[in-house]
Amino acid sequence: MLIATLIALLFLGSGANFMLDGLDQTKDNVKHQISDDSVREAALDVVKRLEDTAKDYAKADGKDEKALLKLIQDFDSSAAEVKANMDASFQQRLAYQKEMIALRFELKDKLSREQWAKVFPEGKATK
Amino acid sequence: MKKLPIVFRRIILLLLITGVAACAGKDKQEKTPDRMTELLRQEILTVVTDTDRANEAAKLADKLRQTFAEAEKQYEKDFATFRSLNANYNAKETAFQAFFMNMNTTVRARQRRVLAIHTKMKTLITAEEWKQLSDVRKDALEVDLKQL
Repeated sequence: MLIATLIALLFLGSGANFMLDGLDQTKDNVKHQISDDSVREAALDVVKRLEDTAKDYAKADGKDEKALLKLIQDFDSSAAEVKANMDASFQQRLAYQKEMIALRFELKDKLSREQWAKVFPEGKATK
Repeated sequence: MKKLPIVFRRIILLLLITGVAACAGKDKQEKTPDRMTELLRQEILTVVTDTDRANEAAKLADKLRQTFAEAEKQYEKDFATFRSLNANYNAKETAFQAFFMNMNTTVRARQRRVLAIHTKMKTLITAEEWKQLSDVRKDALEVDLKQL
């Protein structure tokens, strides 16, 4: 239903999972730009955990989307029910962001400033 | 092929979940939020026969369109900020926390606005019309399938 789709999309908002975007590029950059084997392997291990965390979140978020759509499609559902779904989804988002930030700093600890600049070059946005 | 921004990929995912993509595809127009909110406005004007209620509900569809436009603009801004922050080797954890706190505050405010639109929409549209809005999609889907 169109109206439910539009409303659900706006509830869920954008940007919650943009940390997932660009992870493929990050992995490629680590593989090709980091010559030190041990550093590269350690960095790839963190990137893998970033990917897993982002995928797990995307999966959980997808379930929330479906539940929210169902609620919005149902004319008899109350605003309180919609809000409860929204709040639960928001708490998941906060936990996810916290986990991703922690992993980002774990990755940083594995790389030097120069290596970091190679893995995350500015000016080449991948969206 | 250039990857679609995640906001549009998400729209397409949601459209696929609800089946709207199939009916919206018949005119082969791009399924942007702008296009979809316009489709919603048209659906409302078709289904809701009482002119006053239809116009009020159509105004709410316009508000949704405006909210989408703002969300899209905000997304671009947030994405650029995040990218720049992430690229900065010296960026502190507190800078990320502040960034996400700001972004989440904006998202929460938007959710409240949309919840208000949703609630208001249900006061303007009857249960039967709400169902008919859904049927409009089903009818369009049937027409679309016949054209295959």
